[in-house]
Amino acid sequence: MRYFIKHTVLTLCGVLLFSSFKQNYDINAKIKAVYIYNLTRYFEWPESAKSGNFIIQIVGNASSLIKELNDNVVSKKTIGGQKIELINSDKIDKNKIPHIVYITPESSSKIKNIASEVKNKGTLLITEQDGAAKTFAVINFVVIDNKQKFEYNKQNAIKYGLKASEDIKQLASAVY
Amino acid sequence: MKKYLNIHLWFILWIGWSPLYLPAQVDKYMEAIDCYQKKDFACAKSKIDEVVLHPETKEEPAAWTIKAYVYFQFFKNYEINNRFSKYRQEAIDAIKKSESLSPDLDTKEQNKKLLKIIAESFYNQIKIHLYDSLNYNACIELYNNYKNIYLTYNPNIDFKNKDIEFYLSVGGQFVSTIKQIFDLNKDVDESTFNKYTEIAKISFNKVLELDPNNVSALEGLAITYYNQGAHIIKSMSFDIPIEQIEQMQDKSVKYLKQALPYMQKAYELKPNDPNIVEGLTGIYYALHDNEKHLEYLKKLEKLKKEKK
Repeated sequence: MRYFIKHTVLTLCGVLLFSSFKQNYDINAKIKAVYIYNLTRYFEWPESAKSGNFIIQIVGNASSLIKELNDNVVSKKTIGGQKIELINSDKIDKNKIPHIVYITPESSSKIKNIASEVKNKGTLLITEQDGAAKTFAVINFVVIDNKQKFEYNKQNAIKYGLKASEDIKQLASAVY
Repeated sequence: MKKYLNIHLWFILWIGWSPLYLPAQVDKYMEAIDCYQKKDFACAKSKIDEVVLHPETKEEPAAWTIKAYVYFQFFKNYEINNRFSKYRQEAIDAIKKSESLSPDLDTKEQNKKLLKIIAESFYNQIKIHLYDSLNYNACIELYNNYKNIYLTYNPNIDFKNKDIEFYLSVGGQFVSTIKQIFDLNKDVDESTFNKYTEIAKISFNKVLELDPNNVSALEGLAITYYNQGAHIIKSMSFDIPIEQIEQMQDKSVKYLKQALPYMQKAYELKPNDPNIVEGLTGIYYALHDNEKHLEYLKKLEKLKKEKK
């Protein structure tokens, strides 16, 4: 052995460094959260609802949506000068009537009851159930061409004590 | 040891015709080897530098070969992480010089042996620039150096498997970095995100050119496109006008749909891989295709149960 050199060849970790697809981020929840926050620009709540906190209530299990709203809306935004409060409960508290109620698809069976509880109280009722915009919802999330869109029911907005901008008709995928 | 003595003897015979001058060079040459063997590389360097500069010995291939070994040791000792190492370059140049002087078979063999080690030293440095500093250009440059040097001593080598390993590693590392950015909710500027994404795509596509059924590359490309779609939504401002939400979704869906065929092909090739099935559930979920999302979610749950 004349010219001995210690030498090791390293191997690159070529396979499956990225093996897990698990994504901790729910993009659909983000889209819904952005819609919910932005829809407030197109509605006017009754005078009685313009003081105290602006309450957004989520009915059903929607942890990603709640996180989005907490992280980006509740802690950073106000609506009409009101602080935003987020509630996750299946029941409407009569002493804390929400400005917005979003009912998850899995909780759609509660739409009718909740609709009757918030009627004429200045609540924007948002659902995600086929046909709900024709019955109880003011806004109903729908999927068209792989995209989240919404339907709008003007009459229901009036029933719930809200004034709506005419502009929202242009933005909805269907108007009832 | 025998070879070691042989080269001394051969060298003494070679310089024997110049009795007036050369004994000093013989001494220096032998001292250089002696220092090298004793791992006193500074000593070896000073001696061999003199030998290869001397008019009577500068055309001796074995002397240049020894210089190459000595300089490579300097690279190892002082510049192991430096991709621009002058010592390593000197070692390469010394081997070239040795080869240009028509060396005997023994010296040729030593040159070849060292060239292989030098080539591998370039490959080893890729790790630093890929995993520590995520420097794509440095990785490409080092890999090309590795290949070029390898080719000089083994012109018939087939780099296909090495190319696959290299490009999978690069693509995988950049995808991992993007995923970490997502998981840790780190802010990243657009140009960095786009750069990482493009590198991942280029790398995985290179693998697919060589091996169209490479599941890791298919999965990697699917994840890359998925991440692009997800990134558009993730970075969407809450103050965006409502009419622009749909435009953002259009852009996102375009990428998500590009992710799908790659993940589907990976699934066809490896239907029982939970990561791939999970990938399909994720893509279909993002595309709001609840039916397909649930279909693959069931498969995933079944696979997980079977694994337990």
